[in-house]
Amino acid sequence: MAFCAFTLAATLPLASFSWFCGQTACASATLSLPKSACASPPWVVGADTLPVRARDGGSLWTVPPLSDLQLAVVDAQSGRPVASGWIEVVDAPPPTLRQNWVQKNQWLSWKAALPLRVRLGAEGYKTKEFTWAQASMTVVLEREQVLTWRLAGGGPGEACVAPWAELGTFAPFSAKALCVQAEKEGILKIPAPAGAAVVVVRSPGCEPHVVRGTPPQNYLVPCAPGVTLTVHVQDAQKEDVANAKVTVTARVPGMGNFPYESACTTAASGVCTVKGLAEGKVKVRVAAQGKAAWEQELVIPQGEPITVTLQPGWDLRGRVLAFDGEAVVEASVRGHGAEAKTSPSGEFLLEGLPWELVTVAAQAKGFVPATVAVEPGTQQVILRLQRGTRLEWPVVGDLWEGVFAEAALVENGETLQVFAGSVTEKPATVWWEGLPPGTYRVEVRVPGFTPLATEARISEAGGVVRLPEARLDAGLSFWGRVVAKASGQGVVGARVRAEPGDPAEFRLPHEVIHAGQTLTRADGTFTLTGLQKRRYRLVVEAPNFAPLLLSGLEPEPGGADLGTLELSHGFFLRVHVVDAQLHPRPWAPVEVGEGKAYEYEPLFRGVANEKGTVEFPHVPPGRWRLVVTAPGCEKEQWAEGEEGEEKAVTVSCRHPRVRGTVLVGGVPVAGGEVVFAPPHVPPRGPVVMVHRPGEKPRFFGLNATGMAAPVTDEGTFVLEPAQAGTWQVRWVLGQRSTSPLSVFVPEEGESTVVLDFPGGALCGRVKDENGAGLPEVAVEVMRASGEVLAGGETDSTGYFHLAGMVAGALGVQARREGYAPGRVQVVVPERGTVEVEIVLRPQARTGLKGKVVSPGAGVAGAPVVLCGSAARTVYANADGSFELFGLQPGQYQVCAKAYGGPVGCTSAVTLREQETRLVELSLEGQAWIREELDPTPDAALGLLSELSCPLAWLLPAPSWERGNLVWGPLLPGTYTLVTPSGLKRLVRAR
Amino acid sequence: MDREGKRWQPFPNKLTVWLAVKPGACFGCLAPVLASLKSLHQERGGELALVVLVVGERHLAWESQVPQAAYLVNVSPQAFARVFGTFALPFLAVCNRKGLLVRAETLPPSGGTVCNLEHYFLE
Repeated sequence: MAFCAFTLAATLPLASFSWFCGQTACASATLSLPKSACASPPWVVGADTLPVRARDGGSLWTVPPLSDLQLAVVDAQSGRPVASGWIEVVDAPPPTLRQNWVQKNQWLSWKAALPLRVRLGAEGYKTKEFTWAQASMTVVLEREQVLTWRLAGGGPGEACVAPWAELGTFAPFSAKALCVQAEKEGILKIPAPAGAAVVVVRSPGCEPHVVRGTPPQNYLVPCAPGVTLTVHVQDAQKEDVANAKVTVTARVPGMGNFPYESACTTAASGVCTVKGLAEGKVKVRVAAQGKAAWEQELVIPQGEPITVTLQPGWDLRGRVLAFDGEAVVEASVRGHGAEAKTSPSGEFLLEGLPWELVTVAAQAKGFVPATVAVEPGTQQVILRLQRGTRLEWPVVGDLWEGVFAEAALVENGETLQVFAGSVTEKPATVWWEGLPPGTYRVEVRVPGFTPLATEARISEAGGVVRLPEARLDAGLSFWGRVVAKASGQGVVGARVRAEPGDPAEFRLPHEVIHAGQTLTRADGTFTLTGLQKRRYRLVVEAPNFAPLLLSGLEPEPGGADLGTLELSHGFFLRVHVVDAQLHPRPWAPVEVGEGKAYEYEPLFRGVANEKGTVEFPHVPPGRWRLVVTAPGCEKEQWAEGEEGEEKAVTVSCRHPRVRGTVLVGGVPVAGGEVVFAPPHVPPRGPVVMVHRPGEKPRFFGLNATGMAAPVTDEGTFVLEPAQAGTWQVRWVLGQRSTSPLSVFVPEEGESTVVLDFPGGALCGRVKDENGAGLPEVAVEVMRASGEVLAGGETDSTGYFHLAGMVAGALGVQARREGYAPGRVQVVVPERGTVEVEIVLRPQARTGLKGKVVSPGAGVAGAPVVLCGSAARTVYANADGSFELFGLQPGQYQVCAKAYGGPVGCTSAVTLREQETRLVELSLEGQAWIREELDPTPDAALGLLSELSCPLAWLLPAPSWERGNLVWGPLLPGTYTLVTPSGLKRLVRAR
Repeated sequence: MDREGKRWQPFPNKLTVWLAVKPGACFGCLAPVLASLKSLHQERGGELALVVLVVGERHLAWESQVPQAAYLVNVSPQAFARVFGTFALPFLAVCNRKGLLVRAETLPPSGGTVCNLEHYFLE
C-alpha cells in the first residue's frame, strides 16, 4: 500500500477533487498535486466525477481533461430504463470504488476521462463490465435470478448454465456455459438467465444431468448411478496394483464437446469402480507410480470389469533452453499424456512414460513450440526452443473491446498456422508473441471501423518487428432513428446490425459473425460505422418489438440516411409440437427463420415446455419457416401471420412411410438401394458445412434433401420416416443407377409403390485410339434436353452396363481426365440391351503429363513442383499421376517428393506449342548433402534444383553433425544451397 | 475466432480429401485408401484437411481408423446425398485449393457432384 508523503489539505481551500495514493485518501486539491505527494499516479475523484488516474505533469500530478459523459441503462427484457444501480471503475482504489445512481431521466451523467473500464450493476441484474469509449452510451442489462438447487447425492459438484437464445451455429454450450460450484451439503446457487436455458449438472459418482427449458426453482438434482466401469489394475507380473488412479473422461451426451470426469483409486486388490458414467465412448487413463500410464478410448463393457496391465514405466528428466542457452521458465512439456512445467532453472520431470519412442513437445510464451522424439529409457533430454518474434502493429485511433486480431502464417498461398493477437490500449497497439519466421497475413478488426489487413515478413527469429502505423478508418456508414410505430417515440437500446449481403445469397460465416453492430441512443438515433462498399442487410432488434429486416442497403461515406425505422409488435406465434400419436412433445427445440440458404442463425430460437408449447410473442409480419429438431422428430413447417394477429400452429412429428417393390423390366431386383432424390436443384452456391465434434454437422446453401432405403434380396423396401413431395427415384447398385421414375409421397400415412423401371439396358465399352479399354471413365446417359438420366463408371477393362433404361433416343457421354469427351447417340429398346462403343482421344494441349513413382508404385498426393519458364505446384492423383497444362512453350523441370522417401527432379524438358510431353519421375535411392556450414535456423537455408525449383519446403529440417550440414533425402545429383547470407553454393547429394 | 474467442477453422486454400464410408464398411477393403490417407496426412498435415464422413449411425470402430487430427464427422445419408449427389459408398472426393472437385472415386447417379464445399470446424 502506498502512503501519502505530503498533504495539501491544510494549505488549500476545500477543493473539488479528492486524491488517492494507493488506497489512502491523501489530499483534497484542485487540478494538481505536487509529485512528491505520491510515488505513482494517484486516483482523483470529484463531485459527479468518476475516478480518473492523474497524469504526469512534470513536477506535478494533474487531473486529465474531463468530458461530460452520458449513460442510458436499459432493461434487456422490457427495453425500459433501469431505476437504480451502481457503477465502479475497474482498478480504482476501494474508497472510490462504487457510486450509486438513480436513473430519473433517460440519461445518467458524470464527468470522466475516456477511455474508462467500468463495471455496472443493479439489483436483480447481471453485472456488466465494459470499456466506456464514447461520450454517450447505452448499456443493456440482463435480468438474473438465482436458482437454488440441491444435489440429491450431496457432495461436490457443479452446475453449468447457458441461455438458450444465445446458443447457435457458432456458439456451442461449452463457450457460453457459466459454471458454479456446489456449496456445502450440495447446494447449488445458479445465476439463471431470463427465459429458457440449458443447465448441465456434473457431480462425481452421478450421471451428468441435463435440464433444458425454463429451469425450475428449488430443484432436487437426481443422482442417477448411470453406467459403472470396474477396472482391475495389474502389473506385468500379474500382481495387483494398489493406489492406481483411474480417471474416466467423456462428453456429456447431446452437449457437443462438453466434458465430464469421474475417477477412483484402486484398493489393495487392484480393483476400483468408477460410477456415474453415461453410455457411450469414454477415455480411460490409469496411472500408478513407477508404471507407464495407460490410456485408451473404449465403450464401457456391460457388467464386465476391464483388466489393465501396467508396464514398467520410466521417468524422463530434462531441461528446456532457449537457443542462446538461457533456461526457459514455466514452459509446458508434454509426452504421452504426461505433463510438466519447467522450474526456474528450466528443468522438468515427465513421469510414467511407456517403453516406446515418445514424442516430447515443449511450448512456452514467446517461443516457437518444438518437439523431440526420445528413445525409451533416456535419462536426460534437452529441448531447445527458438525465441519467437514479437510482431507489433501500432494503430492510430482507439482500440476498445471486441478487437479481433489474427496473424496467419502462409506459405505458397496456404495457411499453415494462425496466431491470435493481443491488444494494448495505450498506446494503441496490436501485438503477437512467439511467432516463427515466415510470411504472415495479418488481419485486425475493430468494431466501428473497416478491417485492417497487411502482410508481415519475419526473416529472423527473436526480436521485435514493428509494422508501419495503421490508421483506423470509419469507412462508410448508415444513420437513422429507430422509433416505436405506435407512439412515434425513439426506442433506446435497440440493437442495429449490418450483415453483409443477404441470407439468400452465398456469404461466408465469418462475414456474418463479424457483422458491425451498435445500440440506439436515448432518442433512438444510431450511427453504424466501419462498413465497406457493398450491399448490407440491416437487422434491428429491441425488446417487446418484432425485429425489422431491411435488405439491399448501401452505406455511404458521410453516412446513408435511413430515416425513421419503425418497429411494430408483429404477430404472436404459439407453436405446439406433437409426436406421432399426437401427444405433446416436450422440450423440443424450435427455430423460427426465413428459410433462406445461408441463414446461419434463425431469427428466434426456443424450446417447447412440458406441454409441448413454445411461444414467440413478436414475430414480424410475413411467412416464416419453423424447424423442429428434437431427436426422432425433425420437421419443417411454414407459418404466416399479420400485424397484431395471434397465431397457433401445430407441428406434428408424424411422417409418411413408403413401402414397395423394385422391378427392372418386370423382374424383381436383388439388393441395392432405392434413392429418392429431389428433382435436380443445384445448390445456391458453395455448400457450407459447419461441424462441432459430438454434434450433427449442419449444411447451408442447399435447396433440397434426399432419402434412401436398402432393397432386400426379394426386391422390397421400406422407407421410414419419409418426406412428402414428388421425388425422382432411382435404383442404385454399386456405382450404377437406373433412369429415374417420378413418385409422389403423400403428407401422411403409408403408401405402397411398385417401382417398375424400364427394361432397356445399355452395355458398352470405352476405348482409347489404340483399342485398349479405358477404366474409370464416367459414363452418363442423357436426354436430348441435356437432362442426365443415369450414370455409371467403366470397369478395369473399359466395360459398363446400365440396366433400367428408359426406351427412346438417348445420348451417352463418356468423360475422363486428359481425354476429349466422347458422345454417341443410341436408341434404347423397350426391352433388351443395346450395345455401344465410344472412343476417347487425348486432348491436345500444351503441357506436361506424368507420374511420380517410388519404387515402382505411384505416389498418391505427392507434391509436384514445376519450375523454369513458369512455376506451379500441384498434387499427384491417387495413382501418382499429374498434369500440368496451360503452359507456354519453354524449358521446364518437375520436382516431387515421395512420402518417407527422397525429393527429386526430372532433367530439363523443352516444351513446344500444342505439345504434351510425358515425364516420369522415379524417386528411388536416397542421397544426402554433407556440407561444412555453421548451424543456422532451418528457415534461413534454401535448396534449389537445376532450374531453381525451391526444394527446402519439401525436405525435413536439416541437421548438423560435427560442423557439417546434413540434408536430405534427395535423389543423387547436383543442387544449389542458399546460405543465410544469400550466397549460393553448388553441392552434391551422394 | 467466434464471439467467445474460441477458434473455428475454415480451411480455405487447402487440399481437402473427403472419404465417405458406410458405418459398417470393411476396413480391409479400405485399407489401401486409409493407409495412403494416413501417410498423406502425417506428411502434409498442414497442407490438407482430411475429413472422414461416416454416412449413417456413429460407429466407434471408425474412430480408431481415422488418422489423428483428421476430422471424423457423422452425417445422415440424406445430408451426404444433398452435398455429393450420391448414396453410393465408399466415396472419395478430393477438392483442390479452390474447392473444385479434382477426383471422385464413385459416380453419383445424377451425374452432378458438388465439391465447392466451404467447411468450418468448431473445437
